[in-house]
Amino acid sequence: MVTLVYGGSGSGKSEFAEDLVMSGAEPGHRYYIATMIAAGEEGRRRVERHVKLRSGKGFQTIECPRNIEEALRRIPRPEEAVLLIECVSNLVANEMFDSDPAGGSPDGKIPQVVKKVISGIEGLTQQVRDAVLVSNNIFDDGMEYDHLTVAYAKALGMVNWQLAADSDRVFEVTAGIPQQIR
Amino acid sequence: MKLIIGGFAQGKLEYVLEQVAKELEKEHPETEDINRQCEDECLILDEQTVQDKELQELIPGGNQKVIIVNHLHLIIRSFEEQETAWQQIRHLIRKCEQNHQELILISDEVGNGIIPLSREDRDYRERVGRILCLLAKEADEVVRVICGLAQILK
Repeated sequence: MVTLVYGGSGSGKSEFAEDLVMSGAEPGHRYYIATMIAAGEEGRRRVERHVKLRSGKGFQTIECPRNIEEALRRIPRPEEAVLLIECVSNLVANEMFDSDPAGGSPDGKIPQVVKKVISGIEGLTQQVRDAVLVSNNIFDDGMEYDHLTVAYAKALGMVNWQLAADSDRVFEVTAGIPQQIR
Repeated sequence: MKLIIGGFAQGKLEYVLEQVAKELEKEHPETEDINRQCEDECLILDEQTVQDKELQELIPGGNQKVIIVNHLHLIIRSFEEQETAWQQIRHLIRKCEQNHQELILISDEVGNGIIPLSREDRDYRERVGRILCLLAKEADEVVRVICGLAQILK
């Protein structure tokens, strides 16, 4: 079963997603697929906070900032594994901005980034028992951003709606309260 | 009138077109090319088509069944006063009611971020928010699209 957990920054979506995995898998089979590249002091602190939140919950962490399907190689018995993939928004950013700094206009990259992220995630989730995907709501502030940021938001929007369509369940988390929207 | 709201890049227009195609398919089960049918029977307006024109001038006398107004938030932004924007939109709604079967308004939700520094941006967000409240009251149906999924609010 695949579950998408969606919410704003600080909405409590991570904790809810962790609880879903905890209730669905024994400690040996819980995997945390971390997509964030911890850059700088703030990035390191953010990662430390998440590591602390997860400590004692029996997760094995696999860092996978891009080419997400490669995480599969590090899971010995995928058919019993339950994954928490956190988070899709970082994965999209890493695929969009870091992999090919010289090539192409940001708008032109949207279709290939969307395709790569979707096929990577689905390649992974189809092999495991269950997966919980976490993604971010960055879309409701009505602000105007530069070209690059808008291209990123479009790509993430398309990834989110494809994942939502393909997931068995979708939850939106607000102030720590999950609501099932599908 | 239907009102469709949601954040940026949530699949609002795609959702609307999918619904319209479903309805047209029901009405014309014999049709072979549903996309062609949609093109013939739908008119999509946005801030580009509006420019400096009066909104109601944009509504054709033709026989399109469905008028879709996309990026309503940007159209609202082009009017500096809330009252002017609201009057223009009301005229548009009335004109559509006379000539066409259905009007679908699509707008981004823009009020959920940090309060903007500039007065102009603050007024814009406020104007969009207030007008969406007024439209939601009048609408037969209000849908919020999130991650491409529709939540029926009214």
